[in-house]
Amino acid sequence: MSISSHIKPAHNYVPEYQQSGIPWVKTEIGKAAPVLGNVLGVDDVITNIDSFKTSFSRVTRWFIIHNHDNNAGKHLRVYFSEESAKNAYSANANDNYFLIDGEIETNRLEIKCKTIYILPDVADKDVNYSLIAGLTNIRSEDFPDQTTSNGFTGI
Amino acid sequence: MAISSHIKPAHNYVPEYQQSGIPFNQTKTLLSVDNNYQIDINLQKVNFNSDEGIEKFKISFDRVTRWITVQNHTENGEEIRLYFNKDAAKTTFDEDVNNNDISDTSYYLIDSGVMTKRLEVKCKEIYLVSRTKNNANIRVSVLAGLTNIRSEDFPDQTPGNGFTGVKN
Repeated sequence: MSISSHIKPAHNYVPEYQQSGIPWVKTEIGKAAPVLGNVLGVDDVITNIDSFKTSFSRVTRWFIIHNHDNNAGKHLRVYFSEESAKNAYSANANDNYFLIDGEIETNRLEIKCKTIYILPDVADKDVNYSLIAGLTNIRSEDFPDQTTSNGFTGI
Repeated sequence: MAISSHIKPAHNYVPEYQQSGIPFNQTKTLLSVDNNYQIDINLQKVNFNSDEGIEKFKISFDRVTRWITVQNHTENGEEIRLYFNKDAAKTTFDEDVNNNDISDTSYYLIDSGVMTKRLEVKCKEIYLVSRTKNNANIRVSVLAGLTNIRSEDFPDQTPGNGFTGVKN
């Protein structure tokens, strides 16, 4: 007996967001700082961005992130766009991220997405966090890539 | 008059999640784990990572949850891990030859003195464990709101059943 139904709901199918989510959890303790390099002539681009990417197999209904660092000034950045995340510390950086202070657990963030990127606020720091999400039955491959051209204008 | 209706709703039946839950609460002290990674059960030594051992760290719900909260009551920095999969929880004390933690990372870490937010997840069991071996002072409370969906009608929480984020 599988958790998912046989139908393939689309991401605007409301009942998927009116029920509790399928649990999804992960904890990263002492995860090493990103590796920076020169990519296409741009300095300080993250070259190992995949190791900071969290991919959900199903679209999220909500998620919560807890920054375990006991130094309130050791923030985490959360991005929804790979392009923005890769350039977090480069000359092409933008401000489309949200910041989580040390020792802070976010509220339940009721957001639908299939990928997020969690980075240190300062490039050479490690990260320590827990992530819990409630997933829908909507398959990630049926959700658009999170890019500006696909309508994600705030990421 | 019983709390549950006579019909047997499935776990994707939305109205079960649109009403408040049936209360479930439990507070327990975690069992201590000795230096050989064993616990005492009825005066018998049992391996922590055996089925019988990990069962002592399991909270089972007879109905599927609409939400859960977990509170870590310790004050001395002991952290509690919340797992949703038995095999992942069994790895809690796994280490490599250099004593580095190589346990399964599919858990949510609850810091000392912290109560989680209301976690709106559907599940029928959770595992609460700590890497601290002397658990005598580690008290933990679970408060959940349950649906009318019977646990036997809910799939086992394994990757093969679609729970892709509960075990590495």
